[in-house]
Amino acid sequence: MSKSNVVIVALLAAIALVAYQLWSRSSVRTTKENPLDVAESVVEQASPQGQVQSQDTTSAATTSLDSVQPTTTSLAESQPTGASAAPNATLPATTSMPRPSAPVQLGQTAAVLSHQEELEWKNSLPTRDEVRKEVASDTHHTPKTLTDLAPTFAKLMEDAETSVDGARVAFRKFELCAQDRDKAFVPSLRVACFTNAKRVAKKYPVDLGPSLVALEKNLDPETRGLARAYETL
Amino acid sequence: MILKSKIVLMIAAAGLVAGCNKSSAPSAPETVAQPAPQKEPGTPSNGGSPGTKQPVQPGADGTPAPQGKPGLGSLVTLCDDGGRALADGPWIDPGTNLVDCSGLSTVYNAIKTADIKATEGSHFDKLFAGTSAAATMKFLNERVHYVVPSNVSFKLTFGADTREIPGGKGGVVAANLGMAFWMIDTKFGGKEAGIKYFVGSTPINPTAPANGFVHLGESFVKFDIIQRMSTMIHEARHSDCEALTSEVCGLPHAKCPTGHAYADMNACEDKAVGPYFTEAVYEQALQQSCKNCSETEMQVALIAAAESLTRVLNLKEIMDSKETRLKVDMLPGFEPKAHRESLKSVFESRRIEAGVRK
Repeated sequence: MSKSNVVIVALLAAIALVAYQLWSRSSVRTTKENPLDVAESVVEQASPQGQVQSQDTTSAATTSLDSVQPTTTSLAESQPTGASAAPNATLPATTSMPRPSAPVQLGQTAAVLSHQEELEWKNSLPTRDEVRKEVASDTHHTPKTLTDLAPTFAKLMEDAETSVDGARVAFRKFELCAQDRDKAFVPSLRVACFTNAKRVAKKYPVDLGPSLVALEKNLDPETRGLARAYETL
Repeated sequence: MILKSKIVLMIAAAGLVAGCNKSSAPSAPETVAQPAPQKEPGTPSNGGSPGTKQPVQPGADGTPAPQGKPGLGSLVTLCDDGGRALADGPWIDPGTNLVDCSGLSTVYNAIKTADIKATEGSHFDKLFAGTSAAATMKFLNERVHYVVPSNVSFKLTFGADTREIPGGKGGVVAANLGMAFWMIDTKFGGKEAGIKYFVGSTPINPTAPANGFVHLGESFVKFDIIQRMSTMIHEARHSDCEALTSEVCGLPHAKCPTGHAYADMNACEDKAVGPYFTEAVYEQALQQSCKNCSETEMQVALIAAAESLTRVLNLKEIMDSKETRLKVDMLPGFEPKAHRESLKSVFESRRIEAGVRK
């Protein structure tokens, strides 16, 4: 091979090598995107520092979602599609909910607690607004205001085990929470209360069976649906 | 297309990782007992001494112990010095402090020993391929392989650029970072593009969605036992794919729609059988059938399950499904046991790095 041909081949090889390097880099960073920037933004979103920042992070994620056409079917499905799939679709997104007011008269358990006791009980439960505020700062965790109820609920269940009077009180309290005509409580709390009420009633079917039937009949559709799903998981 | 793919990845990974960082004030007093001196070495199956089991007073997790049921929270399992591996669980990074290590060991012990019995053909059975605690342990062990505590950082490098991912501060509970790394790797070219991942200074290679690197937050040990157990189940589910493409691996969270109690928050899910549904199934089994749970623990499980269910936007679709097995996909060819064994080198390297004596 002549010297000039060698030079030409070497030049072509060098050009090809440079072209390959440029191409392989561009396939990664066509948009000059640094994957570490992506990783950092992922982690920042994952570690909200305080309420304000987490709100901003949520907004940023929303902006990203809004500005992009989904490229896959799965992404399209992940766009909020509205009421049909949402358990809470029928509830308005209000910013303030009233505290529960008058007690609900239901069946024969209505006389178990005084009006004042019923009001105190309902006022002791976290409202929808309170829970929502907590979720706003900690979006992926069961709110502490709800899990803090566990010892109280456990005590009621234990009292229900020991006597029918205890059972009546427990049922009435769970009933007031599950019924929630003012929609003051979040759905998960209503479901938990209904599930407990049912459990109590099962132990005393003669005393509390009719009350359970009445309660179930008066449940809002969302609570009823979630409770049924919970039972059949 | 690249820009869109990048944003797809960012959204998916953000939803995945953000969804795992649960932040809250502690819901119970700190439960972990003081570390005990090392006792019999046992027969470690993966390079370390198993933790020493030491019964403590009932109600160690702050819950009352009614009617002779001390509950799962009383089964505190301690890590002894140098013991950072669970005989039947993930590698625990040697840099883990004793409190976090014991907290994690306790959780795994509780998951393993929870006396639960689900119904055959139930969603529990469909998800975990079994009806008892053994099935949930298998599910976990296929998906969570290496747990890194809050005091140890992950690191990413890309060329001369380095980013450190510190442990979750404040109220952060846990994050399945391994899945996020795999997604970033897949999208940006991985090793060929020069992206590298480290735990501390030890390199790791996220070769599969279920590589199972989970980062604990500072708040992990401050939560009650039930929520820690379900957090691990939740994180494990993030290691799966709805379908075998990177866009739908991780089963990221979704924005709750208008009208929802948590409207406009990234607190819902609408993908196949996601982490919230999976968590709800597990919690329901605890509440309905757990024979060695305290009543308070069962109430926590009930409340948490109900809360998780409210976030499942495609709940009706799942409940109506006639599938005998719920979709739980891993990439073909992925062998969890072999992968777990391959991480021994990471564990040993980190042992040296962390200065842990054998």
